[in-house]
Amino acid sequence: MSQQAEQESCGDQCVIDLSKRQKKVPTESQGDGRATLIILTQGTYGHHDDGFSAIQVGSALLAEEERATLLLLEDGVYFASRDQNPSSLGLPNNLRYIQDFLELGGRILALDTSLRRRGLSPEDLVPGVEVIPPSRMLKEIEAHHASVTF
Amino acid sequence: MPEVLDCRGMRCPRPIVEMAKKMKTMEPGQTLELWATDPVAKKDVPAWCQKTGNTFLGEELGQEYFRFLVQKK
Repeated sequence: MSQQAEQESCGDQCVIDLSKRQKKVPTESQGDGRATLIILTQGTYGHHDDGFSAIQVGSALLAEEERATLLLLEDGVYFASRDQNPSSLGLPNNLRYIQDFLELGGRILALDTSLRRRGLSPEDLVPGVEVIPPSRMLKEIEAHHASVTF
Repeated sequence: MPEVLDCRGMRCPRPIVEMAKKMKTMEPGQTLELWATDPVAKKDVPAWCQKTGNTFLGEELGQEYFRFLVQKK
C-alpha cells in the first residue's frame, strides 16, 4: 500500500510526520488576514457547549474580518447534519449558526473517513460543507496561523 | 434614517455577528442603529468598529437597552 493510500485509509487517526512538515508560510488563498482553524471533535447536542462554542468563536472571528475554518473530525461531523432538530431537547438549532458562519465567509470542512465510519455521506451534511481526505487535513493545518480544538 | 438592528436579548458575541451580517447588506456611508441589552456590547461595539474600520458614532443608554450608532466604512 502506498503512503498516500495509507493516509487515506487511516480512519479517525491521523499521524503527522514532523520531519516532513515544512516551515509555515502564508498561502495565496490565505491572503493577509489572520486565519484560525477551529477543530471540533464532539457530537452536536450531546456536547452542546462544545459545538455551540466552536461555531460562536468562528463567527466572532469572521465578524472581525479575520479568516476562520471549522474542521469537523470524529463525532464532530454530526455537528453539520442536515436534518438535525433538537427541539425536543429544548436547545436552539445549530443550523442557524452554521448558516451565519457560512454567510460571513467561513469554511466548514468534514473529514471523509470520520463520515464513513459513522455511516454518513456528504449528502447527509448541510449544503456548503466540504468533505476532505486526511491528506488535505494536514495541508489545512499548515495553512492556518492558529488552531483551537473543542 | 439609520437602519435599525434589534439585538435585544442576545448575548456576546451575537450582536457583533448580527451587525457584521447586516453591514454586508448596507452601502458605504450608511448608518446602523444597533439595539442591545447585553452590557458587554458597550465594549464590543466600539472595539469592533476600531478593528474593522467602521465609524463608531456614539451610544445612548436608555432605561431598558443600549443604542449604538455605527457608520459603514
